[in-house]
Amino acid sequence: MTTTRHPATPTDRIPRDGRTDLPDAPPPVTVTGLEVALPDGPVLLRAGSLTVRAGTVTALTGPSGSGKTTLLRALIGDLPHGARVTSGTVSVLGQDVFALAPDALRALRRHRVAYVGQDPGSALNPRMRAGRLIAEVAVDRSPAAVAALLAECRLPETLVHHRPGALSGGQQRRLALARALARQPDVLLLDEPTAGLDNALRDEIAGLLRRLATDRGVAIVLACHDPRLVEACADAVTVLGAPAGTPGNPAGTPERTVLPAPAAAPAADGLRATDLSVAFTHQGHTHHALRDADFHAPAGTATGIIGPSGSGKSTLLRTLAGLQTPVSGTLTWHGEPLPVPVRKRSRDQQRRIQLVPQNPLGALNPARTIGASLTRPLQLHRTAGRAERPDRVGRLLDDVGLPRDFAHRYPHELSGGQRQRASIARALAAEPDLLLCDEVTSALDPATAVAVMELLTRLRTERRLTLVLVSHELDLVAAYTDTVHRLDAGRIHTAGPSGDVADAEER
Amino acid sequence: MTDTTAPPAEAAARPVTASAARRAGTLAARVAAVLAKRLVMLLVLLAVVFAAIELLPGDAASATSERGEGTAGLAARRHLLGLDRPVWERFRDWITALPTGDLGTSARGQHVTDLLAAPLPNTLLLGGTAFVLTVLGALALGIWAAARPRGAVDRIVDLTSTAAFALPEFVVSIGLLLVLSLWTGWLPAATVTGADGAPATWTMLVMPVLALAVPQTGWNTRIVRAALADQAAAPHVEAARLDGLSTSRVLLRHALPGAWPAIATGVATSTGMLLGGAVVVETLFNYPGIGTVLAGAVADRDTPVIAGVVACAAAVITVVLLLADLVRARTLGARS
Amino acid sequence: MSAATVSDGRRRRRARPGALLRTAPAALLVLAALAGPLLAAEPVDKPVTAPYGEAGADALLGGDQLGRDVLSRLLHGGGALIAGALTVAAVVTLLATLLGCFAAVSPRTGRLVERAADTAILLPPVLGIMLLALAWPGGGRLAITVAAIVLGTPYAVRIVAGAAAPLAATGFVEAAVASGERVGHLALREILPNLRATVLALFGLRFVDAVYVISMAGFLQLGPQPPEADWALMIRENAPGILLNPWAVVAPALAIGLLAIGVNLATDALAPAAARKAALR
Repeated sequence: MTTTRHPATPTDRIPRDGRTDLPDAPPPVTVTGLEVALPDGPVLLRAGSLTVRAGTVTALTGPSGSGKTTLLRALIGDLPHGARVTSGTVSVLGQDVFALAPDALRALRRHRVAYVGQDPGSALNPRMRAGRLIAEVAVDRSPAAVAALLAECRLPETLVHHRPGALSGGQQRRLALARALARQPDVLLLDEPTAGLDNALRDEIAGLLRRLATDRGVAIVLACHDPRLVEACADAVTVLGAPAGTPGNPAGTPERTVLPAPAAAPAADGLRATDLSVAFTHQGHTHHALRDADFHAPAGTATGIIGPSGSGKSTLLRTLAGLQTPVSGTLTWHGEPLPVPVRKRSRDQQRRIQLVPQNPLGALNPARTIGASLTRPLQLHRTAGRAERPDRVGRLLDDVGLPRDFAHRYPHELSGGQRQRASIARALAAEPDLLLCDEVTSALDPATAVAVMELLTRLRTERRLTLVLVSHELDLVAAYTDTVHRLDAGRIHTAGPSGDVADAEER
Repeated sequence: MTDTTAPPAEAAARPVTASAARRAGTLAARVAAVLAKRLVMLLVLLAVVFAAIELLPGDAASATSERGEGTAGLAARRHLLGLDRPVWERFRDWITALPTGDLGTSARGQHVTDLLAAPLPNTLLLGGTAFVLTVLGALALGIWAAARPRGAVDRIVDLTSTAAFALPEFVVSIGLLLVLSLWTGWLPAATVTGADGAPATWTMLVMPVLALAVPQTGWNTRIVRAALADQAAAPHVEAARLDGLSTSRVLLRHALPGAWPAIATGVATSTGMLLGGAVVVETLFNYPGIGTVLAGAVADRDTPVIAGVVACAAAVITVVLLLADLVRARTLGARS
Repeated sequence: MSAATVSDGRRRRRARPGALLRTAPAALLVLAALAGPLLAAEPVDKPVTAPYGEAGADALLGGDQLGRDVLSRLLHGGGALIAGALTVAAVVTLLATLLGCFAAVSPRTGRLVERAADTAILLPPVLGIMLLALAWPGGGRLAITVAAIVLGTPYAVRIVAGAAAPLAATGFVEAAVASGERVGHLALREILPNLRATVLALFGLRFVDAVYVISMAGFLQLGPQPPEADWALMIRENAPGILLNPWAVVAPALAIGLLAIGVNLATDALAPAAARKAALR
C-alpha cells in the first residue's frame, strides 16, 4: 500500500476556514496497520494505514477486492458480517471507534462522520420522500435549508416530493450525498461517489467536494477508481493492494497463461441462438430481460458473456440451458433445433449440454456427499455401469485436481475453489460437449479464480469441449476466451474477439 | 467487493403527474384483481362446505325426526325442507340468496338470519375487541423486543409469546377465571345478559376478550418480531443505522413500514382463530353469542344454521384478508 | 441465503446446550399421560366422593360432578389426546412435506397449493370440526382426527413449499433440471434431504396445533363422549363446580396447557431458528 501526495494539489494546503484545527492538531482520521479478516477465511483488508487531515480530500484506489469499502466502513466502526479486526487501530476524531460505547458510536455517526455507500439506490428508504430523507438527519430542518442542500448537490428543487424509486441512479447518488451533507459532518466518507454520472456532473461533484474541504474544513475520504475525479479533487491518493491468494488453495497460484484454442476447424456449427427475447411480468410490470439477442458459440471454442448485474447475462445462459422459456427466438445445436424448456430436449441433448451453476456454496447439494453428487449423472445418463461408478468418480476427481477421498466429503467441508472444481466434475460426469458456466469465479479470490479458469481451459483442450462463460470480470474472461459478447440492459452491445472487446473497454 | 454499475445516468425524473396517474391506475387494477380472487375463494369454500355436508351420510330430516316416525313422515319432512331436490339446485338457491341477507331456513323452520341477528353482533364485538387488543399488544411487544436484538427483553418476549400461542383459549379462560374472579373477586365469573340481549356491563367482556387475545397476541408478536428482523437486514435500514439515527427512529420510520405486509398477513390469519375461539369462550363464560346457537345446531344436526355461520365467518375473514391485501398493495405501491 | 441455512443445519447436528433441559418437560408429560392408566388408583366411572368433593386423603384432587376421582380421570384422560395429536401431526407433516417439495419444483402444483391454503384459511378450525362432526354422526375421535388432518394440511403444505422455494432456485437443483432430472427425483432426492430442520419444526408446531384442535373438539363435546375421561371434556363437565372443587377444572387445564407449552418449547429448542421462522409463516 502506498500513499502519494497528489502532484497538482499539495497536501499541506492550509484551509481558509476559522473552525479548522491548529497545524499541530491531531488529524481527524488515523488508521494504522488495520487488518480485517473473516474467521479462518479470506483477509478482507491487508494492513491498511491512512492519515487524513482536516480540509483535505483523500482518494482510496485499488483493484476490486482490495478492501476499499471495508476500510471506509471500518472508519465508522462497522465491519462485514462475521469479520474481525485482526490487527491495527482506527482513530476517528480522537476516538477509537472499535472501543466506543454503542451510544457514543451512534452520536459519532449521527453528527460528525457521514458515510455514503456505493449503492445509494438501495440505501435510501424507498417509502420516504426526498425532502423527508434529508430533513430527517439535517441540522437545519427548514424547507429553505433542504432546498439549498438540493441545489448544492445539483438536484432540482421539485425533487423534494419524489421517492427514491422515481429518481435516476445518478440522482439517487446525489440525494444520498445531500443526506450526508445535511448533518454538517467533520468527516465525510464516500464510496464511488461519481459512478454512473456523466462528465459534467462528475466535475460539479468534484468541485463541490473541493469546496467542502477547503471552505468548511471537512476531511473527505473517497473510494474511487475514476482517475479524473481523483485528479480533479484529491489532495492525496492511497493505493490499496490486492490481497494475495488465500492459503490452502490446492492449485497454488499458477502463472496466468493463455492456452491456444484447439486448432480444429469449426466442423460443426455449435450453439446458436437467434432473436432471443425474454420478459418477466410481475404485478402488471413487464421487465424485458433480453431483447432480440443473437448469440453464437462455434463448436470447440470458448465464448464469454459479460455485463453488469441486471444486464441479462444470466438470463441468456439460463435460456441456453433450457431453464428459462423465451418469449420468442430459436436455439440450435449443430444445426438441429434445441427445444426449450429442457424437458422437451432429447436424453442425448440433455447429456451433451451441462450447466455449471453460480455460487459455489449452492452449486452442490449440501445433504449429499461429493461422491453421491458425481454418481447421479453417471446413473442418469448411463455413462457408466454400476460396478465401474466408484472408479469413474475417482477419475473425475483426478481430472479436476481434487484428491480421490473427497468423494466421502460433504460440500461444506470443502473450500470455495474446491467446491467449484467438484461442481465442474459433476458436469463432466455426463460426458458433455458443451459446458455453460455461470459466474464460476465469483466469490473466489483472484488466485483461485485463475486456477479454475486454467482448469476449464485444460479440460476444453483435453475433452474438445465448447465453453460458454458468463462473468462480470472482463479481464478474466477475455484472457481465457476466443470471443466475448457484452450485454447491457438486455441487449448484446458488442461481440467480437476477446482482445478487441477488452481493449475497447479500457478506453 | 464488486463494483456496482449504476444505470446509464441522468435521465430526468419522470413527470410526477403521469407517474401518479399510472400508479392510481395500476393500484385500482390490482385491487380489483385481488377482490375478484378473494370472492372466488369464498365461493369455492362455500361450495366445498355445501358439498361435504351433502355427500356425507345423515341429514337434518333424520336428525330432527321424532322417535318412531315412519318413513313416510320422514319423506314428508325431507320434502318440506327441500332435501329431495338436486344438490346443485339447492346450492344455487342458497348461494344466490346469500347476498340479500337470506341465510336460508333452519331444520326447525326458522329463518337462519333471524336466529343469528341478536347473537352475531355480540360475537363480532367480542372478536373485534380482541382483534384490536391483539394488534396493539403484538406491535408493542414485537417492537420492544426488536429494539435490542438478543437482549433480555427479546428473550423474555420470545419465550412468553412461544408459550402463549400454544394455549387453547379455554385453558387461558380457566386461568383468568381462577385469578381474576375466584381469588381476587374483581370480575364476574359469568355473563349476565341485559334486556337488549347484550352483556349487561363492560366488565363482563374483559375475561372473554383477554382469553381470546392472549394466544393470538403470542402468535402475532412472533410475526412482528420476525418481520422486523427481516427488515433490519435491508440495505436502507442498515444505512439508517450507519447514519447514527436513534434505535426507535430506525425501527419505527425505516424498518416498520417495510414490515407492514408481513404483519398484515399474519394478523389477518388470526381472524379465523379469534372467531373460532370466540365460540368456545362464549360457552365457558355463558356469553350471549353465536356459540350457544352453534351448540344447539350441532346437537340438532341443523345444517343450514352451521352453513349460515360458516358463510358469515368466511365473509368476515374475507373482508379482513382484503384489508390486508390493501395494506400490502399500498406498501408496495409507495415505493415508486 | 438458502445454501448457508442448509449447510448450517448439517453442521449444527450437535444439540445446543440446554436443548435437553427444554425438551424434558414435554417428554415427561407425554410419558406420564401414556403410562397414566397404569398408575390410576380408581376406575374412571365409579363415584368415590360426593359430587365436587373436596381434595382429601382418599382423592388427592377431590371428586368431579358425579363424585368420581379427579386424579384417576386425569391419569386416564391424556393418552387418547396425545395419541390423536401425534397421529395428526405425523400425517399432516408427511403429506405437507411431500406435497410441498413437489410444489417447489412444479409451478402448477405450487399455484394449486397457494389457492388451497388461501381458501382453507376462510374456515375457522372450530367451525370445520363442527361441520365434519355434523356430517359424520358417531364419528367420535376418528372424525376429529380426520378433520384436524384435512384442516391442517393446506396451511402446512404452504409452509414447506415456502421453505423449499429457495432450494428450488439453487445451483444444484438448476444443474439437475438442466441435466434432465424428473420432478420426482428433484423433489425427493435433491430438495427433501435439505428440509430436515423445517420438517422437525413443522412437526412440533403441527403437534401443538393438533392438541389445540382436538382439545377444542373435546371441550365442545364433539369427540369423546361421557363417561369417557378426557382432559378437555373434564373442563367442560366440571366448569359449573369450579367454586366447589377448583381442582376438577384446573388440573386438566394445567395438563393441556403444560403439554402445549412443553412441546412448543421443545420444538423451539430442537429446530434451528431459521427453520422455525420459516414454519411460522
